[in-house]
Amino acid sequence: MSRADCPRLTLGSVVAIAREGGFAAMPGLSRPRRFACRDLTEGQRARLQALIDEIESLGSPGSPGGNDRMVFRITLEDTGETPSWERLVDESLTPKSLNRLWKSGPAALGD
Amino acid sequence: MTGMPTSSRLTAFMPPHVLERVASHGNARLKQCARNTLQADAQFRLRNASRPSARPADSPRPGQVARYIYTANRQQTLPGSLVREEGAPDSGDVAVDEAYQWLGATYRFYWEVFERHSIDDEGMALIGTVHYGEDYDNAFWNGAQMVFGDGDGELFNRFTAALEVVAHELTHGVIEREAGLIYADQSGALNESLADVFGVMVKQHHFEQTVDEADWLIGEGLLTERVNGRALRSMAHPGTAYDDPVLGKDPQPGHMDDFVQTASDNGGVHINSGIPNRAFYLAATRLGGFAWEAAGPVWLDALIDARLARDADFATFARLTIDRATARFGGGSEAERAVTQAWADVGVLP
Ligand SMILES: [Zn+2]
Repeated sequence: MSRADCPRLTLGSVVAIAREGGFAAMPGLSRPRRFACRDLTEGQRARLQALIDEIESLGSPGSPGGNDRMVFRITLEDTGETPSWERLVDESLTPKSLNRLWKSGPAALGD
Repeated sequence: MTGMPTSSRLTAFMPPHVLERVASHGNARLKQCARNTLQADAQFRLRNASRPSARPADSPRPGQVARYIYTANRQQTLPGSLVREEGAPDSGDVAVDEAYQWLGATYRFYWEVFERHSIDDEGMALIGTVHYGEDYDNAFWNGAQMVFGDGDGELFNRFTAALEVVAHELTHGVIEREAGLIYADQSGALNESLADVFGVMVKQHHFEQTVDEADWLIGEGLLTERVNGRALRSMAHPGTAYDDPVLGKDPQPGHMDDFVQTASDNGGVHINSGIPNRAFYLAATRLGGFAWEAAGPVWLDALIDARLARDADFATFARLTIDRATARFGGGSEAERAVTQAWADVGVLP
């Protein structure tokens, strides 16, 4: 996949992150977060873009298989409610920065 | 960028079971993408599986369990360092010793009740890793071994604390080998349900509980006292296991009328499993005595039946259990009637 295909964040973009699955798949463990680019600083937006690029660059390392594994669902919404880009990333292949972002929110993106 | 995701983007991180469905049912472009990804996945798995020397010895003879318990030392590397192997005394590490004991109880259940010799019925070594990750609220089967987190301590205790959790994960290995039920939608919920059904039966067998004495809870003792809940799932009354400000309310349905349509968690495999879970509970309690005497063998017969397809839905499995109840106990038998009635009661069969 060429770099040009990578989604680019705009001021109107909203990035949603949620965790799913696991033996204890309970509603409260999903902790969905939404990051509206409009509310982020330029630096935070750049770091969010870098994370999306990183997820995109993972290519297809293959699912580790098995059962009761947790995955992160990352969705990019531009205008409208239809996601323009969506990825499921197995927890074991998840970039640390994504985990931090899901855990801590925009604070994980720095200033 | 606008519009729907392109097919190549969609398939890049799809789990194999979804890809398999796409490869067989999707449009031409999607099919090719799915096939390419599946090939890459197969190569990936082959690379990671081709380390025979790393795998400890299987059981030397039927009836003898072969357990190996490792610690991940709060990292996420598998299997980690070996702490206790078959025959070794208590390690003093409670998670290690629980995993060892519960894997033993699960092996014993499959052997004593069904004469099944481990996960593959060929004496496969039982490998468990504890202390996986930091504050990790999960347990899973990775296709080769079982993995248990310590829990975060706030909401969850360690995942080895409940026998049925260990038995649930081991049973995923049995299901994978026997039926290979695709882990999405109804076949995925069926996969989850079977892991719960045999998990709860292992618990009842170990503690010698009749169907009336048993609590039919999955993950009892996993939730800390801060949580308003008894367990993660209730097979007797799906949807009633917990109702907590932080964890939310147990979303499991116990009837097809309440089947949950969702994309999340592979189509809600841990949610809709409540329906077949309750069917098993109803059949077993109607028959009385010990669950592994009549209902259990019928469910195992259906699980290992060659006619059970990888993408089987609830109704297909239900008809198979009735068929196997008839074969085992006779037409018009109490077992046949109880199983038939159970599936009707949860709305899976008319
Ligand atoms: Zn499971």
